[in-house]
Amino acid sequence: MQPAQIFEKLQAEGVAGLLEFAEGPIDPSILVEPDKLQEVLSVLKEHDDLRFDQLSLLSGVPYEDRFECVYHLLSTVLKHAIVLRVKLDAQEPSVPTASTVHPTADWHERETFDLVGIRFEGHPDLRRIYLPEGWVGHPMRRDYVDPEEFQGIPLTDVKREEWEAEEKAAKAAAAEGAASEEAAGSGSDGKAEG
Amino acid sequence: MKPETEKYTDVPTQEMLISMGPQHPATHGVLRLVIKADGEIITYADVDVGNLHRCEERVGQNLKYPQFVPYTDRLDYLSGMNNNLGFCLSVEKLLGVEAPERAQYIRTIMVELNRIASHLVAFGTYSLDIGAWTPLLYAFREREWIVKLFEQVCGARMTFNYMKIGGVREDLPTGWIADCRRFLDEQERRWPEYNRILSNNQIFIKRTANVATVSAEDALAFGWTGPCLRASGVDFDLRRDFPYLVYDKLDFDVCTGEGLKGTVGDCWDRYWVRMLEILQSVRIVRQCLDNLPDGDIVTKEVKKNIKPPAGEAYVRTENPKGEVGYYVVSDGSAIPWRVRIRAPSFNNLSLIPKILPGLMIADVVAFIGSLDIVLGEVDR
Repeated sequence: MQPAQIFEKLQAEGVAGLLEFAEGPIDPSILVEPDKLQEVLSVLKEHDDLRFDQLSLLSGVPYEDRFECVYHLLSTVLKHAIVLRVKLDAQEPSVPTASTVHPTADWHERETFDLVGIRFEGHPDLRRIYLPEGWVGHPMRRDYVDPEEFQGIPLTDVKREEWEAEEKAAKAAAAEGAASEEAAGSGSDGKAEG
Repeated sequence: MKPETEKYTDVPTQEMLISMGPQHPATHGVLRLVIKADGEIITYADVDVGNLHRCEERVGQNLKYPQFVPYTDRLDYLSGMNNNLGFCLSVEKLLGVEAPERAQYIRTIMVELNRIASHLVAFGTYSLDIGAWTPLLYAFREREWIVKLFEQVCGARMTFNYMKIGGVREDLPTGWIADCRRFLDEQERRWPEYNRILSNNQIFIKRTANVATVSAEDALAFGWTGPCLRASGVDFDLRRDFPYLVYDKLDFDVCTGEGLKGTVGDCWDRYWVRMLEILQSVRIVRQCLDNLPDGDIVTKEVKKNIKPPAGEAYVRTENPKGEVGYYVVSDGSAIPWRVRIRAPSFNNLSLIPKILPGLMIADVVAFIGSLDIVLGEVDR
């Protein structure tokens, strides 16, 4: 079935949450309301004429004024494909998890949370998958800046030189202090011996 | 006298937390598994990926379209041609162009030769994981020939950068086709050797048959594609069902697992599907060489400064590991807005927390080897 026919089928079934069907530009897609996402995915999976049994890809795309979550679905039985998209808030993007319908979304959502920063409500275990725990920031966002240091390791040359200079200064101060102590110490020792 | 076992009823035991990796000879790269084991049986498993994470998707946002093609080689580094192809097809879909006929055939030849090369590595390294040294050298004997053929065409043995947006970079040199035909004959002649040495080997069968069986429902639910999915009995191949390049003109079989030595969807089936696909790829390359047309190798419609119109495209291709897709979002400028890469090994690996509990630690090695993962792709 072509994407337009799939959209009409969903509308005929009375599925709530379908916002619009975009024929272009390239790759027609169905815009879905975030709250009704799980329902739409279930209908797409269970219905006899649709049978979308595999979620190929879940992507988070940051734009200037919004985030978008795009779902590419595939039917291995009926050999057709469709694209769903969800528009999310720019400040705190959040969408219900697709892993209740498609378990493969588990890891895709963890990756999207890690790199783009979209939260998935209802996800069984939402934690970073690539970057280490405690990393600050989401690299795929447009306003991301690399942190200067992570758990005691300098990540930029500037930071490293700063720390090296600090270490050197601390060593020099310690050496000076030791030298002056020695001078005072040897003097007093000499006196004591004498 | 008390029986032996009565002496040991009050010995305290506990589960052991083992970190398998990231440095490990059998995890096919820098993969870390966190395993809780009660003796030899696993009770809990978690996967810690990201040791090879280079954030290639971020790189894709900073470079122009043709500049990103070499980066695709580094994803699944054993099938560079397939990855190049996926990206070029997505961008060509955005631009609305098609490569000329000769380029399509050459692309198919390269992609299928790379499939043979990748499956040979899977065969060789799997035997190494199980404990046999010789099949690796047999596999790499054939793979060296393929890699030499690639070197003659594009100058590189692993990171090809051969596909261009709109075609291929170089034409086939003189004598290449004859050399390729000689290789195909040799590969077909030597294929039964692999069966004598490994596939029908009783130790190998004992290690892999009926081990870590994955049902078709589980495989589909967790996003499995490619040989792993077909081994679980699902008859689905992107080359036949969503054809691209010239696959709709070619004649080949889609191989599924039949549980010949155990159950459908066990490790032996996943291994066997790859072996059968080597023969099918030989068949496809022969047909392409027989029907290779003359013509251009790059379409003239693609300008030097590639600026696709605003839009997005996702093209699925059949990698040796599964379905590879590039979701490219364009905002009309020369630099993509977003390049999202669908890596089959990422999905294939995600079934580990579900399947490992209950297996023995030695079976973990057999299972991961049968998945044929490449960490460059898992971590991107």
